[in-house]
Amino acid sequence: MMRKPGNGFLFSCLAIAVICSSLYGMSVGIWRSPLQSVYVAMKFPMLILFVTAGNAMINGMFAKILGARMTFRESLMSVLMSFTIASIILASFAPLMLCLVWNSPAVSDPNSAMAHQGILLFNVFSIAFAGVVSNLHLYKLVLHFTGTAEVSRRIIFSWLAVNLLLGSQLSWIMRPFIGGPGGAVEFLREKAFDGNFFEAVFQSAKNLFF
Amino acid sequence: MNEEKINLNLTESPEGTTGTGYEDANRISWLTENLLKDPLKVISGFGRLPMARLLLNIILINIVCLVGYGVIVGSFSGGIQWYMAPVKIIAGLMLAVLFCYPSFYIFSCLSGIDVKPGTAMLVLLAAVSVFSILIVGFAPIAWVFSQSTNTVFFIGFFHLLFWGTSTLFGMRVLLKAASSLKCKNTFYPLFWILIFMITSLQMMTALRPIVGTAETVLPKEKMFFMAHWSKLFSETVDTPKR
Repeated sequence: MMRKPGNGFLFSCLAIAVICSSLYGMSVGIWRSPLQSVYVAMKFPMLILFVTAGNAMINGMFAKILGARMTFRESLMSVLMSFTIASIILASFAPLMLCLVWNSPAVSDPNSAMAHQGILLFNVFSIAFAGVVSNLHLYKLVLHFTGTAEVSRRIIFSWLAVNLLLGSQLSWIMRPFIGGPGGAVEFLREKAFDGNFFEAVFQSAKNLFF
Repeated sequence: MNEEKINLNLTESPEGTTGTGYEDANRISWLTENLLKDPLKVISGFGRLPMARLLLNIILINIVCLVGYGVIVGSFSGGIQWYMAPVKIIAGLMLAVLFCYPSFYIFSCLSGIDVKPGTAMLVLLAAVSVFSILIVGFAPIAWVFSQSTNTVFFIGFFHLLFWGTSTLFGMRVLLKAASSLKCKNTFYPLFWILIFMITSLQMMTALRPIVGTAETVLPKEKMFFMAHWSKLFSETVDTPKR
């Protein structure tokens, strides 16, 4: 029988997610400048908290509609736990990111564009890996509530879809994270709310193929 | 693979080692022999042996073996490389261990292994010790090649071969330990091994030259190891040995 998690557990998860994602954020931003590192250390936990809070209601509803005997609190806890696991994995990658930054040409170097691409690639890989592993763990947890693999898969898929939708747009608004060699060091872009993530992807695809 | 199940989280009780094959465990020779013959015996002894002494012995084994191999690596170029090569090899390996240790511990937990952070570090150091012991075994062969070769790329290739072989055996200890510690998913240790190999290769590139000579002790230009090796390969010019 699973013990119901109390408020202490909720706050522990929150604290771990904030500290760990902050550590990773710090390592991501350090290549551009120490100030960028501080900004990203603040923005990464904010991104996770905003996505968790922003989707809490819809995630809870999806769980109920798709047939899980989960309370709103349980679905919120499950998603938060998955983000906590992802943050722990990301924090364990922080030394590797620092190693990569140390071995990459500096921002002032003529080859800095290549370094930027390398750091971006590692960042995408780290987040993708952490996301996959944390969702595999989340799947096991949801399976406990639903009892059937099919329903669990549907719930996980719906949660992933809405988290991706909000997460991608919030990360677009909260850019820059790594900070390009030519870009300014800033907490948010001057026109942070201009455009959206999917519009940018569409424009890039249009420029590339048409 | 050895299916013996081991428990890492026993309380430290050195007096409880009588008649268990751990009587000589304080000796470096016992540790060296068992790291090669039966690394699981060493790892399962972590709870029973005095930790400080064990850690000191592991560090000593690593330093002695890596200095031995480093001197052979340095003999290719001579000069300051006699001492810079061992220093850089030790620094590179230790930095790689430090960079990869957090992911090692997290991946161990994710794979279902019940291990404490301190014990995880000891398991990792034990695996690195097997690497160090093996690589010093390759030292005579490396010396023969370094005395008869003029090309940095060629001798570098042989060192990479010895490094790769020793790493595989060192990492095999981790897989054995993972299996014995009821690892539920071998993907995590295997993936971590890949991360560790890439990191240690990169550290050796970051601290170059380890083989050959350069104007400065550390490189002026930052490069990824793939780019460095492809550059060396494309140059393929004879380098004066001394």
